[in-house]
Amino acid sequence: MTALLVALGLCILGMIASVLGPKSVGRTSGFALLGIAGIASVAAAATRSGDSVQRLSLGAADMHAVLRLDATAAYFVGVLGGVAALVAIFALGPRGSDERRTGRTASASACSILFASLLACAANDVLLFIFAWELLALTFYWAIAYGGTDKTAPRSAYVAVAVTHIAGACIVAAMLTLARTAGSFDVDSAIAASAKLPTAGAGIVLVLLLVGFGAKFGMLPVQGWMPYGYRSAPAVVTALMAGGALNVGFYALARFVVSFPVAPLWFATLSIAIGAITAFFGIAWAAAQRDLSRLAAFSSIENGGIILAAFGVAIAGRILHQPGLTGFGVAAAFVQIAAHAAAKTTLFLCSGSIGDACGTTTFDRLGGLARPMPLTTAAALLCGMSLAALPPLAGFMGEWLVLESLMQAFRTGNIECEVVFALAGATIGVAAGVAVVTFTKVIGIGMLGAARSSSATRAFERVRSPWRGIALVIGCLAILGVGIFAATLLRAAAPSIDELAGTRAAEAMIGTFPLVTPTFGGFSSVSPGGLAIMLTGFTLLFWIVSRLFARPPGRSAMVWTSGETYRAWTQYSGTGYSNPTRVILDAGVRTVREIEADPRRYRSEIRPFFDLPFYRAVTAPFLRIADVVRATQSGVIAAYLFYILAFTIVMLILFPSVRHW
Amino acid sequence: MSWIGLGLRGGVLTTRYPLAPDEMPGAYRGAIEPLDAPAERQTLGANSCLSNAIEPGARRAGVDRARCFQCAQCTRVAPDAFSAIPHFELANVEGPADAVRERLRRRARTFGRSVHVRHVDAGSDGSEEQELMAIFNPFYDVNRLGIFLTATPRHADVLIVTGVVTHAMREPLMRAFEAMPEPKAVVALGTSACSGGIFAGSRSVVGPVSAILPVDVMIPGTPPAPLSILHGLWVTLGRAIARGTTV
Amino acid sequence: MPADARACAERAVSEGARLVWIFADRIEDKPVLHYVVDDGELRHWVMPVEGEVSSIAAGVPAADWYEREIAERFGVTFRGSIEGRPLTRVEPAETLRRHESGEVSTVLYGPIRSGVVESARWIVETAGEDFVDVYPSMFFKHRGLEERFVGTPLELAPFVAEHVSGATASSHAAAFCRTVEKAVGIEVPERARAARAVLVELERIHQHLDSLAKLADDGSLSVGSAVTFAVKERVHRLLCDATGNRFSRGVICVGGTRFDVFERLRACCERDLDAAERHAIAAIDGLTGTQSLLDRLIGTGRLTKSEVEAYGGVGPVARGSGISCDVRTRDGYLYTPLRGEEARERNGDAVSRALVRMSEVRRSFQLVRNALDANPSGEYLARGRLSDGSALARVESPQGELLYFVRFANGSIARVAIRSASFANWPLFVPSLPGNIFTDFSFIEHSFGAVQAEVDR
Repeated sequence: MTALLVALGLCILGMIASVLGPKSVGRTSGFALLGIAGIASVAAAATRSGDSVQRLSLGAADMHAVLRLDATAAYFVGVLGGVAALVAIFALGPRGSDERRTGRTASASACSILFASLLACAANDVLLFIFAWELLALTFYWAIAYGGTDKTAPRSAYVAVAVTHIAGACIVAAMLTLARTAGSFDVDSAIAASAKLPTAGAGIVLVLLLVGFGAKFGMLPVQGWMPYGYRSAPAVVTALMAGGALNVGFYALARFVVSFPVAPLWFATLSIAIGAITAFFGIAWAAAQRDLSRLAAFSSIENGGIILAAFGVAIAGRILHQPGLTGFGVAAAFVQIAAHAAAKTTLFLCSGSIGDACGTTTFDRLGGLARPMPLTTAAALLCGMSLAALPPLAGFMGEWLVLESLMQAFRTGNIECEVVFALAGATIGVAAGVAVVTFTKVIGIGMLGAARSSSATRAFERVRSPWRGIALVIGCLAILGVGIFAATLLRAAAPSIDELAGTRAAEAMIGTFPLVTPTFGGFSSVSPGGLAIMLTGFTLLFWIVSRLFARPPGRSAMVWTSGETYRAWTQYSGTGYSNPTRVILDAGVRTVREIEADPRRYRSEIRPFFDLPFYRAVTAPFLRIADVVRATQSGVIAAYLFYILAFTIVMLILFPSVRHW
Repeated sequence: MSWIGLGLRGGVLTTRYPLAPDEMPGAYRGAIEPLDAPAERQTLGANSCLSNAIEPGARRAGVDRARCFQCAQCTRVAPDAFSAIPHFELANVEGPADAVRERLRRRARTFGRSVHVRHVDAGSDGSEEQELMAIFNPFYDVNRLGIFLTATPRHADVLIVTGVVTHAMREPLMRAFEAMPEPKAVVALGTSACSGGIFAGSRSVVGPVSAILPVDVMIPGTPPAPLSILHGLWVTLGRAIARGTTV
Repeated sequence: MPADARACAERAVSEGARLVWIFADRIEDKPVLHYVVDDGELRHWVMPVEGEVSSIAAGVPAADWYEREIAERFGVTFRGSIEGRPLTRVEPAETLRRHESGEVSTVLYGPIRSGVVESARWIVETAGEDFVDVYPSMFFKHRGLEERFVGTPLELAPFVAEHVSGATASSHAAAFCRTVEKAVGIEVPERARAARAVLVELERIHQHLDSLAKLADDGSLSVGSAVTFAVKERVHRLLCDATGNRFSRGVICVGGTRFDVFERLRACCERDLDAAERHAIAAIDGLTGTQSLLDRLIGTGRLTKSEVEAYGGVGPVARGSGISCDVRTRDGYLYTPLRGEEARERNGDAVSRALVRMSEVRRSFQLVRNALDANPSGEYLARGRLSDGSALARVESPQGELLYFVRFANGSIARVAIRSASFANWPLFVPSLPGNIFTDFSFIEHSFGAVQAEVDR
């Protein structure tokens, strides 16, 4: 708990240092403090012993604890800390070209994101949770609107703020209902009290919570802000948002929804269905993207869907009184969360490197990066393989567990559940297939081949500072580690799994190292470590055999291009590569393709079909409100901080008085 | 009707050539045989030759088969000095390419005798391509000899060039040659490819294939008959002996 | 000489005639333009070039390629020409593609393509499977054949014509000789006319079979392709036995045939024609009965009737879109004229063109028989006296209407111009592509059945 408080303090210090420190020092010290805060968070998670719950109360003894670190919170605090540390190490290198001016906004918003995320995970008070949640939303807005150099940033920020506020409204409504039912703002009692709600009421509360939390990790149909936001914010902030802060949504899901005592069964199947649909559309849209950061954002939506489906299994298990199933679902979700955090953070960091080197992350202007940027290319390859769920990497283990958990449909003994489980499993399987195509494009079109633009020709690895290299290497090790040592990770997360499942379900999942088996013995098992050894062995064997039987060395000649000289523009374009996939998935990925006559240009635009009408209807009133509020907004960063500070103070003053509400 | 039935009912059409002898119809104007004749008769024939393949000689004229495009006009204006024979084994080895052929032969032996061929049209009249395709039809079925077509010169052992080399095809042809791995052989297919034929000396074209690439084997003919091509490929692989082109 | 041949041609086309050809000649170092249209019969206008000529390509798309070729080869400027890219000059692909890199990638399909194919380059701009823009960049095989004719003795000139397109050598020799005979005024003996008809029809059979076999091969129909190629081989063997050359080269000459080929043709056909026809019909029935092949062809490379009319398409390509344009039914150059309806299809897709070819193969066997049965006796060669003058004549080659123009000056050939059917049809290739995907490319290409050599010359 002390370590957590230290981390929170360091985050605040980091924000202050970023804002008040001298120009270049501000950013560096901000990120340095962020890194230390991250390490402190990991320490907080690691030092939490056994099943103990650490609480921190303010004021009177009868008052409920403000902060609380139990196993579930600790797992997320650990992941958040790790991501923050990774991002901080990367950011200690040169300032990214996508960061505005001195980059102080980036470091300040990064510190703020970590602060809000940690606070949300550790909050044991409904109001504090809402405050942290809103602070996170505000920081996102701030980072998107003012952190980057992207020209579309204002629009992206408005979309982000609109969606997060819809989500916020849902959460506030649900939370207040719970608090009111419980007569307390204590999180645990609020959840426990929901047993008193009528089934219909519980359903409504759950749906409100799902929509509210779903917005954070890109659940359909509240996913729309993510691609815009991730593209507009600077890469380091995006890495923290996508790899780290996104997990607050999953934490909230685990904390409030999975442990919800009286959920109706339809809610479980609804979660699984939405999860599967989100996963499918997320990756389908990702496949059609032309920009690396947007593609990565849509891939986050896919992962959000997969994790939601796993949590859905856990919810079903709880409703059907099958703790094994709940444990399995939670375990699958946890591994997938760690896998996604490692791979997505690293991928966005790669995207930052590439953006710095080439001035763009549009696939059709990249290419030929393997030689000038070997480390970034290797890291992106590993991230891509993991996100495409290839063994023995982290993503493979996560998706394997999720699919296995969906295969337990027969245990539910409920036809409705069985059908949804089976369909969701198939959909996620298809999504995994499309993911392979998608990340082949990232590597094949984005990195390999010849440079597709003059800026890509001039690309080089920023080796002046070793920080970036170290960060990418650590990221890669994390991806490998989560995959190969999934059993160890599960052992570490076991208290949390048990906590959520209510039994000692986790014990059964961890076979003799490095075996991972589902909770249900005899069903199936996988040994990621063994897979890794086997794959390495086969690769070595192939290499040795090819060496042994190699005939005299080959001769290198130019690529054969029908008798023409080789030109970079005869390579497959990113759009061209994914076009067949896009045509197949055209039902979901509504695209507009047009050939403009003058100037001759081919244009294709992706229009997610829930997206535009939905957002136009919802964002319009918010934009009007924003116009009004703009009067109070000077655009000076300090002003926002002041507002937040004032809000915090008011909240803290109000605390004792609302206690007996 | 099933294709298999149709194919089977046709019976075996395939020639055994070059493993066993085969021949062209007696009327085939494969080669010009000069006969003993007075000089003015020889000159008459030479003047009627559009590709200057005939060189009057002391007793009989010399006929350059690499230049002859098989019109047999000389045999009509001077039948006493020239006669057409249905000879089709016209391929000739160019230059000191025995070493290349020996290596190709050894290579072909090692790998089940399979050899891969890439074709480049440098400016043909369109019939050489059809005759080259014909060696894959059931009557000749060159696959039985382990000779295969390949899509890229990078996999090819033999480069077959058809047609006189035009200015525009010069660079692409050289690129194809450069993209081939060693050992490689170049075959000029057709009279135009061997000598330029009726285009020899024209400013519109670069010239015969040998003007820009080291040609190993020439297969004259306008177009060369499939049997001539089979023979030429056999010569290229060092499996058959070539006769001289000038008789 | 009418003052404005261009205006006459434009008016005729607007009244429904088909623009057949625009070509240039040089008389006393001054370029002259010839405009040829077909309004039931050939109309031919000539005009000298004074300064710039205004282009008619905007209203008559068929004029585009002719005008561009003249502009590049004769230095005549056409005002208002719509296409700025060169046609006959081989330029680096950079200058020919239209879209900057980005979403669109450019496939340089050629000049050296896989398989045994003639050299041509297609600059295909694609955003993955769809065609965004396709530019035919050809004339890699330009060998200067029209110039090669100049000064060649008339006795030997048909050999040059046979070099324009070796695969359809008899059609070219026949078209050239017919033009010369028309210019000089030679009456070709019956026997030679019959022999020529047999040669050209047998040539049509082997070229149509070649196109069909390639289509079968594109559809991965190996046995169908092999069987069809085998029938083609039978025709080549028949021709080799009868004429001494597998593509019947060196037979047709000005005034008739070089030797009495008719007798040998009759003997060889009596022996082999029935078997060849039987095999051809079996192969054709097999192809039309193979659903997997038809599926690839139906709806592929569709050309509407109005497109074909606008671009002046000829031969099986035009007949596949329902246009009647067979020279054999009009000029009566055949010994026994083609009677009855031409083989036509309405849909304009690849399968329509294939079906037209199949019907024509059947009919050609019949025409060969008719000519042989007539067995006209007499001379096989007529001689005439060379006089200065010029003429234009046409023949139905396997690819369609083939025109030659020959002008004599000072007792020798001064100008030969060739309008091949493949040249007339290639501009239609690009309009046939939209709506198709990359893998349809070879089906469409082989359904056109063009000979690149006669395009590039």
